[in-house]
Amino acid sequence: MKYLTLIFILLISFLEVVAQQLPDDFDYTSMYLRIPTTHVGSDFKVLKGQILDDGLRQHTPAIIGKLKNDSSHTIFTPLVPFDRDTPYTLVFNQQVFFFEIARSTDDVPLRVTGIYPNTTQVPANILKWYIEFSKPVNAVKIYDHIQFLDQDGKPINRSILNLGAPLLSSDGKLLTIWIEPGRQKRLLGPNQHLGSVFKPAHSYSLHISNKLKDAQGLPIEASVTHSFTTTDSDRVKPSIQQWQVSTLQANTAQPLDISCDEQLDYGSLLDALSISRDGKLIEGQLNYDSELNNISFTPKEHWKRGEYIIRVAYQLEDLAGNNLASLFDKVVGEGTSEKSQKATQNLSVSCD
Amino acid sequence: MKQLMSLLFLSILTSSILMASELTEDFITGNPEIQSIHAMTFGPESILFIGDSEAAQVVAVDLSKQEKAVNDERAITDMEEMLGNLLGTTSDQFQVIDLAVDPANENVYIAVNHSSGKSMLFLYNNNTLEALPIDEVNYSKEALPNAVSVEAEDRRGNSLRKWAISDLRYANGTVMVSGLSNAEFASTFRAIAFPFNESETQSSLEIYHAAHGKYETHSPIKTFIPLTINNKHQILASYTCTPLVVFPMDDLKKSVHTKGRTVAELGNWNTPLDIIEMEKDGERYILMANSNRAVMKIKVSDIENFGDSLSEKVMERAGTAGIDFVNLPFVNVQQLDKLNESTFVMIQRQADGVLALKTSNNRWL
Repeated sequence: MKYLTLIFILLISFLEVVAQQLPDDFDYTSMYLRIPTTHVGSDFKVLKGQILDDGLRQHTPAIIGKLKNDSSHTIFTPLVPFDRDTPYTLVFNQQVFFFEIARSTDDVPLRVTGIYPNTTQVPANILKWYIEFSKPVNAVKIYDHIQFLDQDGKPINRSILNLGAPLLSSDGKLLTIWIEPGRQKRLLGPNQHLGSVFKPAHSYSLHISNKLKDAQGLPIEASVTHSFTTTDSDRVKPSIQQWQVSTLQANTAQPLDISCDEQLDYGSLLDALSISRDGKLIEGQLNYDSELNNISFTPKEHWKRGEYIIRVAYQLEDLAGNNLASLFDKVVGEGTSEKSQKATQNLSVSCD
Repeated sequence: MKQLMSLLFLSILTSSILMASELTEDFITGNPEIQSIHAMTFGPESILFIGDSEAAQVVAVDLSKQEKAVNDERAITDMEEMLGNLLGTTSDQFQVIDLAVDPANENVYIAVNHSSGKSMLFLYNNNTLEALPIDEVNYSKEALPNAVSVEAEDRRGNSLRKWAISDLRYANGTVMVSGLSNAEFASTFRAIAFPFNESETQSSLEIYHAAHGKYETHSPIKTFIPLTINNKHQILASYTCTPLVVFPMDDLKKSVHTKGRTVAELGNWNTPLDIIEMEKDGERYILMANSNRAVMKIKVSDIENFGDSLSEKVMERAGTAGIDFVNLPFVNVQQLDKLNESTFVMIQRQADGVLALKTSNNRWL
């Protein structure tokens, strides 16, 4: 037995001698591996893991990538970037090397920079949340890491609509979360059997697990918990007729302030509202303060004397998914099919 | 007579060749700049339609030159292990997003998304998953407009709005796309004539459904299938909020607001994920994969005979209502497609946690 152990140790030692860490003249990042020769044999392959066993190396599928040469190097580009802090094995010309792309000291961990609505109170039939991240987040299986908790800190099952491909903004930083609609809609099976996800006058929290990673596979700085309480369900359509609009001063770029009748959904607001004059769109910056229910529009150029039109698409939603034309779940027969209700609504504001 | 038959055969052959060239004659070779794959389906002549939410486009890729795949068996015992080795990463860094079978040769294609944002297309061949290039293909594509108003389209610097494709299918010269926006909770369903033609406008349809005759709501469609029901081209669609509805394809007119006929509610804790149609002994069946229920089998004739919409509360079984269905012994099936007339292929998360590619046949029908 002692001999066997000795032979095993010698074998491992031998393999460690044969299989080396990559020498300094090899250049590698998560995006490529540069080998200082233009001649690599047909045995070339890169494998996941530090594989000591020759037989196992033969049977492990090679990482998919492209090989090309420049004047003095062979360059391997993997189909997807190499992971950080993960061992790999390189085999070529009957040599075996191990390498690992270390996490950069410049890598700043992923953080949650905002959760919207950011108010402490929301209607019990809230439909949507947004989570904003400091950098692109890993969208793969993201719903495994986000959940709503009840006031005892217990996860609420079936609270988030699990989309195969989550709704993530193009920059990869803003995630939209839909509350399970089957539970929010009155009289649907899930609503009748499980009730709505949130009940009025209760405390809840949105919890983002520390297992969530960024797009490079690095974990989030820490878990995040956002607490909120619920008010009664909102079953009233937003009404722009009740908005209070500030006056405009000519030859200034002072913001146009609109005080809204209720909290609006940030995502739909950005697309649904525009300001024009004589049919021409006014460029500027739109901001929404959900705590104050206030829209602020700062024009790129000074206001001019005359009349401006605030155009609001009927699809503008409040937090419960009610839009200007209809409630999220309206009573059958309520006249939303009328074209007049599904039209853009206007407010005018004069500039003196 | 023999000459006449030969002439007839030649004429049929010529017309089929002409038809083939008609579908792909406007295709070009190059990079369609696919930024993401969210859904895919095959049309005729090995044309793969890819729903690319990120670039807001549908891309038709000609895969007719792809040879028939050769595998020892139509199964992968552990897809995540295989993909993990091929991509050099761990299973929390990628996700199998869709499965599509080319009916012309039974080739099985799989779309995979990686945490870096890269989407990849694989062919199951030589007992492994072979990555196919999607940046050098023979293709045609069509943009999907994504805005509620012209003004919104004009506004620059707005990257918030998103329209994610949830499913797409091809039937009768039309590519149909369902999706979900992060701005409005509506079920816009788009129909695009194929071959793509810029001068031809796309049509969109808003579908809503009624809950027990009292409330009616919009909802995004999760998955759907074009289906002949009562000799009419119809769509069987499943909402994200569980109801299964039917609506006629004739309703696909721009800005029409139509009510889908609700034929079933498929139970709590459940979202239908994929639908296919199979046939056995002259009877047509729908097979439906679900997030929290076994694969369901529904007779198309039951849908045809279910005259009413679910207008009031009916007797329920475990929170389900409407047409009858039978649970098949396949749970946690995430993707489903028809392999041939008697066999279907599926991707299943097994009880041991392993993600496997499997086939089964119509003995279950």
